Amino acid sequence: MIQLKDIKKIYNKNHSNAFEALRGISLTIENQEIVAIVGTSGAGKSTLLHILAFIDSADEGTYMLDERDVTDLPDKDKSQLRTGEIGLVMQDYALVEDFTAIENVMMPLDFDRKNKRKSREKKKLALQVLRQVDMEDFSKKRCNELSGGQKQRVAIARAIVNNPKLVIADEPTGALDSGNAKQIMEIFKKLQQDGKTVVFVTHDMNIASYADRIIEIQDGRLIE
Amino acid sequence: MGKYIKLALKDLKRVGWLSFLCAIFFAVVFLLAISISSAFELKVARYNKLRPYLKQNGVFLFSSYLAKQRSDGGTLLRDRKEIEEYLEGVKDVISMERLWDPYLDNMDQKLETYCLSEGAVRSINPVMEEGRWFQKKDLRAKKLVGVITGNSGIDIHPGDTVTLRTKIDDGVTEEIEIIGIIGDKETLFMPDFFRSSYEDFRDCFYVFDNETENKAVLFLYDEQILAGEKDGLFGNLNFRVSPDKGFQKSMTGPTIITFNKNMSEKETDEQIAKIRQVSQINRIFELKDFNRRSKRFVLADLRTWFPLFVFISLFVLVSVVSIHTIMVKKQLGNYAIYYLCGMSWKDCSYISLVATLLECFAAFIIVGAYFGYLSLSGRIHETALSIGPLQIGIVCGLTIMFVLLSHLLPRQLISKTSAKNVLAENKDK
Repeated sequence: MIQLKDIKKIYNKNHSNAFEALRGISLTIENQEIVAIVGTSGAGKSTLLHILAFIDSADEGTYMLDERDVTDLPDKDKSQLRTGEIGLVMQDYALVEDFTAIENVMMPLDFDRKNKRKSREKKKLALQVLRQVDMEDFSKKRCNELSGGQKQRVAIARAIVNNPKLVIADEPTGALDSGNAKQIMEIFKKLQQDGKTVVFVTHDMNIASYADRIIEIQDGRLIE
Repeated sequence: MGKYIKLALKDLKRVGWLSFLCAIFFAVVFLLAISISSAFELKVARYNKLRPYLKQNGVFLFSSYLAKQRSDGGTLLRDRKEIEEYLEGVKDVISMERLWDPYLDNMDQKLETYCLSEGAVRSINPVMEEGRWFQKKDLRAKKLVGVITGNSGIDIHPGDTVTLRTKIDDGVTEEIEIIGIIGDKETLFMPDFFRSSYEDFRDCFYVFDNETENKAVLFLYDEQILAGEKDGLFGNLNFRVSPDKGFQKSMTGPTIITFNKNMSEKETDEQIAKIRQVSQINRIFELKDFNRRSKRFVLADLRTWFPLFVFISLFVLVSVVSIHTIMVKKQLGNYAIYYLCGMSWKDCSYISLVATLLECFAAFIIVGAYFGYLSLSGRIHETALSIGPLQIGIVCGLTIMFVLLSHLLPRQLISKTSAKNVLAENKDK
């Protein structure tokens, strides 16, 4: 599914305060794996995740997604990948607070340039994924009326609405209590059973234990 | 496009009354543009009808009557042909004659009646309540045609024939087929003896308000009367056909006389002196001065209002740009979320562009509602407002300008940062 080869990321390149956040990361993630990326603060976990999610780009190295070189894609193509092939879940939920749950979930469908769907079909898909995360009854509630756990479920629903093969999550349980955190990880397990690959960043080893494989990063390098 | 409209509406809802204020600002600018252009267009249209004559060598006269010198004193000039015969070097005459003592059918009250020359007929285009204004084909008609204002006091419609009679010469009548009823408050080529002179082309025209006038006015086509001469028609209105009887008439009100190009100033002055001798002329202007003042009047509103319009437009532009820039700055967090969901970062600036477009659309509705109110209340006639290709073009041009210019700063703001930076800032908060 994912192949990273010698990925480097340097901030403030060509300046005196240049900082190498990633120092040649190479890894392979197979289909239907749940992979946890762990490490101390500042190790480079989020930087690596951002590159995987096309929020940021590598300065050196190659990124292959399903045997396709996606290292230097134009911005529009990266955006299209985020609508269809990759679903993102962020620590702070990244929901538009004054949108309803269903409006938030429909956004990737609205921005999908390849598959133009009618409004009714988009609503149907959105309700389907909300049902999957047990949030169908809250579809018309504004997100600022939901609890943390409910918001994260809506965020997961949004991440999977376009049936992506890959779900990337940055500290998905970071803002949740243990009960809610457990429920979120159970949802990820279900996603794996549905054939999806899940890569998430966490600093919590209890949460990391849900993964099939744990990758540790320290000072921008993988610890074998 | 649908996604941008959806997101723009959400953005506008968030700023609430500020977006409504932008719409009001746009509506004010649009209305001002429509007012200025409508007034200008109306003046230009009216001026252009007379412009071919006004730019020639000649004079404008406003008279109670025009007369020619005779050995025993003077005699009234009765139509434009008499002027052409009396003076030398005449090229065109735009004029009107007033009938003396005309009465309609069996009514006891006089009916004010004017015969208009070709140039006078073509200088106006009144909106008709029924029927039509004079056309070239009327020159060949065997029956005299006439157009009357709307308050004749009798039940009259286009196609009806009325009889005009005079008490001066008992038994003299003329049948007239009414072809049109003029609408209320239309601008007509006719004199207003109670108004001081504008000293420009406005002296030729008068807005006829049925209620204020409380009388009817009948217009005949002088060229039809003259054209009928060769067949001996309309003798009661053409003294050349019937020298001994008929309606008495005299030239009156506004008259434009143009002379041949090659006439010198001295020769022109001699001709004018001839007319002045026994005429009752209230005012007389050389056409070049008359035309200069006419042009100045046409441009006057532009000179007054255009700087104000530019100032208000700039004020609105600065306000809208500021509001939209602040709006975009506040929405960057949401734009970063749209980015995560698949919108390209640069494309987020189009949300603000569409928001401005929607505000302009709301302004169109406000302006439309105002026009609707004016039309329904009948007050549209009290204004010079109109919506035609010029006004639509100006409003579209202003919309494009506002939309594009108010997009510039927000686009700059978005391009100076990245979704990653915004997400990082939000995470730190």
